Amino acid sequence: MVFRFLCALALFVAVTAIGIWIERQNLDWNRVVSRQHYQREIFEENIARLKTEVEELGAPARILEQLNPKVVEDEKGDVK
Amino acid sequence: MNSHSSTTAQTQSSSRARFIAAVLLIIALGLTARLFHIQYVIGSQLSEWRTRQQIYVEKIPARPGTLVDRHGRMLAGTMKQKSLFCVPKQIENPRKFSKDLAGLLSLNVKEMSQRIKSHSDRSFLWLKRRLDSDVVLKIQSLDLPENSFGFRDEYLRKYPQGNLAAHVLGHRDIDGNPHGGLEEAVDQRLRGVNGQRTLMRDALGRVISINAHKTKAAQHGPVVSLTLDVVIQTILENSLSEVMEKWNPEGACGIVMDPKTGEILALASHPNYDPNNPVSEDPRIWNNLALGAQFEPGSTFKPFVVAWALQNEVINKESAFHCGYGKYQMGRRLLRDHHPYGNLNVTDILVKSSNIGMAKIGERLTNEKLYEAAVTFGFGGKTGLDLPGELTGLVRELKDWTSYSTGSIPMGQELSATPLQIISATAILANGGAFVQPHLIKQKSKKIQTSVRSQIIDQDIADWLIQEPLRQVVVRGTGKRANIDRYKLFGKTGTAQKYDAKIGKYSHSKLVCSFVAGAPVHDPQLLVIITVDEPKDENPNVLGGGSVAAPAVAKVIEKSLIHRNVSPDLQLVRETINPIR
Repeated sequence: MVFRFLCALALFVAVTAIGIWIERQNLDWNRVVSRQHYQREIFEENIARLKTEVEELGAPARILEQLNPKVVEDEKGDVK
Repeated sequence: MNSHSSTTAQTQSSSRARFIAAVLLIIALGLTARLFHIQYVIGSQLSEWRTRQQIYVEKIPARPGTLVDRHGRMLAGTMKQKSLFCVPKQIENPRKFSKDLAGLLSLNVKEMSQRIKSHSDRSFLWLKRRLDSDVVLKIQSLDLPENSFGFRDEYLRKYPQGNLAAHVLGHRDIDGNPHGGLEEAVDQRLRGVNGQRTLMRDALGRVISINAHKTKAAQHGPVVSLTLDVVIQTILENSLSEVMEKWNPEGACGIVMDPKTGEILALASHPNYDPNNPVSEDPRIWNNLALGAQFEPGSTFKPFVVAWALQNEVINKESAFHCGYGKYQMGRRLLRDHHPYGNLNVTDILVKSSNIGMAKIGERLTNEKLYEAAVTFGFGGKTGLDLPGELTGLVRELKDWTSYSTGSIPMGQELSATPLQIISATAILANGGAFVQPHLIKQKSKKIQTSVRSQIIDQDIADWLIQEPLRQVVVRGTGKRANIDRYKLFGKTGTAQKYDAKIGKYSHSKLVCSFVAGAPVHDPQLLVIITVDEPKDENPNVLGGGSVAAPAVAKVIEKSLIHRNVSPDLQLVRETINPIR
């Protein structure tokens, strides 16, 4: 009788423990998914920021400005 | 005695038990009543409070779309930037708070403190918007009172090419509202659709989880491809800067167009501004002269009159007119040419830009046909370019035209046009006689043409005008300063006097100098117009479309064609290497 009672109790405790474990896992995953929502936004923002920086650095107006002194030198060289 | 005392004790204990039972019953009834009250009377209200406290619906703002040029180079993009707000209610010492922050924010301590004090009952007050990330870090490291301030992410529009194409793009203010240019024209498309996410929060307001089922993602604005080419735009803007420096005009503008498709490859107006920081005291910077200013077209209008005269067979390609050696009495009006000419054929009338020759062609056409010519070539109406603020120009109603108009209209007076209208009309000649609608937004598929194309004049007339008279204008006429070694250009100069309201007649010093040209002559790939408003020089006699605008146009065409990998004209190159003497 005692054995049966203990088995039933153990089963009850085990089911409860597994239930709690699953619930905690569920909460963890929820937290991860929630964090990913924000991380995705951060990545999108980083992409936008980097793209803009690349475009700023590679702007033809900026590159031409840097190349211009060289062009002048070449032109002078041609004259020689 | 004993039995009596025990009976008394029993009675006492049973009455105590009853009392306790009664108290317990009252408590139980009270609790039941309270539970009933909580559950059924105020239950819905409490449930609402709980939901409000626990569930929070957060807006996900849509990121405005990106504008890119025809090769995918970014012209306008959006990024987040932090803005600082404070909670005046929570600030006990506004003076100290302001002293800590003002330096970092470049604000005045006294003014900031005063602002916080005057809003002391509020829970939100912007302190400074759009802060640099290093300033944000410095503020975060300050020892400011808890819950007295915070940051909010806001979208900031960035124009990575700087001043380039400022008038085409327009700009957005601090609240993201568009002002001018494509930002305004395609705002609805660029804006996107805001989304929302449902958050579960704990009692302290911390986010526990996001309800993915109730989350609606934001639809960010799309990437809009323009017909502009950033390199050609840079070439045009550099040329305009040189023109501004050399001739010190009130303004200058230029357009580069593909005459076959109507695609605008570059469009600029100077003085201009930086859309990243659109602040200037000069009111001229806001006006896009290319489509928001109208001038008399002057001689640039002459080829359209000739084209219409040929189309209506009132003249032919060999027709010749005597130009009266510089003077011609037309009714009560004495017309003059800059130089005395005798007999000139149609080609030479355009090459030498003879006003008398044009007036005689006008006489043959009559006012009705001249009016038809102006309207058919698109003057007096909008071209339909996808930018706000386009002017229609002015072509008066035919009933208001007089015999004076017969002489004035063929030389480009008595009507006004925008540089965009002039280049669009010239495109009709350059592409074999069809009107193509100028446009700035790239069409996704060549099969689906959304812009208008309609045949205006016969192809042989258009081709002849380009390959003969307009080519000769550059070879030996008023536009010879645009003659270059690599490509065969065609073009037409225009020098129009501006009407001076003070003196009530045309001014001799205030001129509008234009040059519209294209290349290569046998297969035009590009058309360029540069219009310079009121150029200045110590010797005003040198001012004209041929001297002010033509060299700049030639430079733009040559560099742009090289950039587009258009082969140079071999015959021209050979002639340049071994000149025929």
